[in-house]
Amino acid sequence: MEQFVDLLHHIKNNLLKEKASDVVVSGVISDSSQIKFANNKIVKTGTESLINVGIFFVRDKKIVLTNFKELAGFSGDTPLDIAALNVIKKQTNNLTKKLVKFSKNLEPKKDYYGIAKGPFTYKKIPETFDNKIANLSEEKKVDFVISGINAALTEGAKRTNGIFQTAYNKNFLVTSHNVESQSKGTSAYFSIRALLDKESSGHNTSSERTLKNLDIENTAKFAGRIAKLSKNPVKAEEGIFDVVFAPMAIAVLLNRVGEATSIFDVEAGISFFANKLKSKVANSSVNLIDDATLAGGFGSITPDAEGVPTQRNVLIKKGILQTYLHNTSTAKKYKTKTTASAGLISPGPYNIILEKGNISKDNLFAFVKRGVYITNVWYTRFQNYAVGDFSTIPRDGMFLIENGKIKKPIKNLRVKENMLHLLQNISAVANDTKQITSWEVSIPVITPHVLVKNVLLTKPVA
Amino acid sequence: MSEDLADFAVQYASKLGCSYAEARLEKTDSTAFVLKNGILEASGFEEESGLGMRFIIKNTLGFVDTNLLDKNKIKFLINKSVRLTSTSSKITENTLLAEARAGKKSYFVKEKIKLCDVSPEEKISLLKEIEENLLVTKIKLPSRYLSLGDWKIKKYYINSEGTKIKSEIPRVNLFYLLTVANGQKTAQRMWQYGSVGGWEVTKKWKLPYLLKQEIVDLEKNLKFGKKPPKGIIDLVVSPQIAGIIAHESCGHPFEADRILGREAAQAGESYLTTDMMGKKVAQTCVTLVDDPTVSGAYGFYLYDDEGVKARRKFLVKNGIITELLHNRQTAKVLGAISNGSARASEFDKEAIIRMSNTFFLPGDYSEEELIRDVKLGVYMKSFMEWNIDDRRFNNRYVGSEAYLIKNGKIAYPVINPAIEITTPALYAAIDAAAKNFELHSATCGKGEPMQGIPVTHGGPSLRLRKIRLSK
Repeated sequence: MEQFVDLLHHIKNNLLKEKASDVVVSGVISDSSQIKFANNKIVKTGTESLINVGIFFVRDKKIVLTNFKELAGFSGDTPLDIAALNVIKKQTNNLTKKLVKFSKNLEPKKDYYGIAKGPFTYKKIPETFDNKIANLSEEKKVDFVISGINAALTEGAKRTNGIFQTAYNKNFLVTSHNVESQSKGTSAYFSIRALLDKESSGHNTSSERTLKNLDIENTAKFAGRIAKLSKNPVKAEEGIFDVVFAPMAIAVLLNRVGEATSIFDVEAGISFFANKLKSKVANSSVNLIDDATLAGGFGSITPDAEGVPTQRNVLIKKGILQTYLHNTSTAKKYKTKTTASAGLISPGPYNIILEKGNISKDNLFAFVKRGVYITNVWYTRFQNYAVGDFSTIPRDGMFLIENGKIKKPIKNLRVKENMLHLLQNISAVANDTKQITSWEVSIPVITPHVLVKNVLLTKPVA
Repeated sequence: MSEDLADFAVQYASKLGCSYAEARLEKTDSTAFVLKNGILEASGFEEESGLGMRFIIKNTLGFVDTNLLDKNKIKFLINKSVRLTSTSSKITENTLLAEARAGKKSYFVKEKIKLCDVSPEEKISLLKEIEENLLVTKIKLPSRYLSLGDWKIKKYYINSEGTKIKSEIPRVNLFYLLTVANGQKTAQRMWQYGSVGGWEVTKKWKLPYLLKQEIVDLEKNLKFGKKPPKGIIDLVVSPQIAGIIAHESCGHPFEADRILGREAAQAGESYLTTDMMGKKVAQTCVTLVDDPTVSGAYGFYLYDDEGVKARRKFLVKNGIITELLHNRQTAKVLGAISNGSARASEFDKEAIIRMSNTFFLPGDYSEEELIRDVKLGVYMKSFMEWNIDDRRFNNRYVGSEAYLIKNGKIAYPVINPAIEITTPALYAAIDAAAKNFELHSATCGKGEPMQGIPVTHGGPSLRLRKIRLSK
């Protein structure tokens, strides 16, 4: 790996010779595997190995991003001989010329204010690397999948679909401003959708950084239970309901909430938090955090993309919007401090955490005289991102709640809401908590069950 | 491109006992530019090469991908993947492929103005020109996001049955999200234009003029728009809405891998079942096709990523469910032959069934004639919000630029008319198709890991009878 880091420095130094003011060179070496299953059978395996080197180059406030691709020589365990390494280094000279030529007549970004100045020291984030995942055998991977499928079937499901995925990454960063960092991480992700029939299903995921925290059996059992419970759903009438959102469902919406705190989204007109700093944007029971240093957090990493040690950021405190997410440049523009959220172009969250409340999930249900329990949502789309008007479709088990108890499975409804209205109508947050990543939850969300009052649910007219 | 690496990969996999192997070597050169509120946010260029391969061993499908184009690395990865796949055969679904004719073919899409010959400044000048045209209207635009990208993919595909396909396809795409304000109210427009071809396609789009007109009309909608009518009305939808209907409620549910349950975990399944083939679901004026071979269209290709020749597929013909979208695996299961619908977005993704260019065929009427025959209705010209459930049954489309139709004439703008309707009711309501025709580009998502693939959707304007608008 020394040679790889040496190459990153070489690229950086080449660009500094061309009078770059800021250079960030990042390297990621990743190996991953996937097993996909459908209808209780394995339908495909995936094996991947990638090395990516990304370059952020600034000269006279002209910003260019590119990559360096001649990396096959670093793929083995044997170090490159000097001659081979020098060939690769010469190829970086070609890239340098190309970068300088590309940037020559670009317009400067007048509101660009530079990158972070190091050096920094980085604390290791606990529970983000597990040798057991990095070296997980083929047999064990397949056994995990089989155990998940069987667990869902024993709970009453007839079919199961999903994936089991493991990844091992090594991350490197060098900058023109005295930053150098190396870190490694692992992850394991199990997703299972259990179906009883076409209209009855449950979905659950387990997203963890260490094997000991991965819980395939209970994840699958929950999915199977929901599938069985949702047998023979009846068409529901539309109306305004109190809704209990399960973690998988609310995570989709909280993902967007977290993204909307990025100053990039605010400027681009896709955030409903624009002009709302220090305003009440949610119910007082809502405390939302972004924490890249969370032990075992699926998105946990340090440093950020420009080398600043990541940190815990309070996004919403007792319902009040505390901060937007910034990198060094945007922070200077807005006369504030970086939140260590680079994204060199677009800052963003790493792990979005809705702080848990004081009541149990059962007691949360007890608040609901007549309402709906939504276990998952899908295909969230906005009429207006800046205002926050959207709709999303409940998927998998959805149930009518009466007097605090699940009464019967229902179908055919759509959530039509406004994000700020929804956040302000969160009336209770349970004390259970689950880490979710999924198709529509690209930034990990850690959340309990949540009760939202007065949610509009619509149905098709024909 | 080191085609010999792809050849080697297939030979090596076959030597290890794979009953089938294919490799797809890709080289992509791209540039990208983002203009946010008039400021050049970032510019970039990238070169990426990689190999993606599939193989079948012990009747189980394996996929390998890497950007480390080194023989030893590829060998190592294939060995690793074969071990995993062989172990997985414990509970294999038994992957079998329908026969496909082997062939050797090369094709490329011509660039009249080569993308690599266009300077970054000239590409940015398009974004700048659009920005200037928007600002000159003096309409309040609190945010303007414009993103321009182009990429050329050189692909070399080979399989163990003797098929070899080489292709070069350049693409250009411009995405935008504009926010129009009038007092405290705002409305947004999010859309994209994309084509295969060189830089010349951007001139055909006439975007500086088009986007200017869009915000003028959107502002009028915002300023003067009234509530949409209640009760039962008729609806005339423009090609933009016809297109999203075609894509969401026909193209997707007709993907055979959904019907067979392979994508149930995320992308979902389908309301369609195989025993519905030949069923009449719409009036005779409704014909819907998926056609990769449409020249210049964003979803264009001539051979799919299994090396099968592409052709037009009649999904719904004269109102009757006629054909599904197949790859070789679904074709084998359902007793068909592949109709060339397998696509992968990049080298590091497996090829799965995807749409290409999905559209209603035009009819005989002018758009004016469709409108003239409406006593009370809504003309929906563009949309912003839309979604559909994962069985493709429960649709929602919300108008952005939209108008009341009264006694056969456009009367005034209406605010966000919404239709929320099941697919059978939607198709049964279509009673006429106009003879205008537009194709609009989009990026369609499917698969785990997610693959965003370039497609178009469109058709003519359509009329739907007796619809109740939703909240």
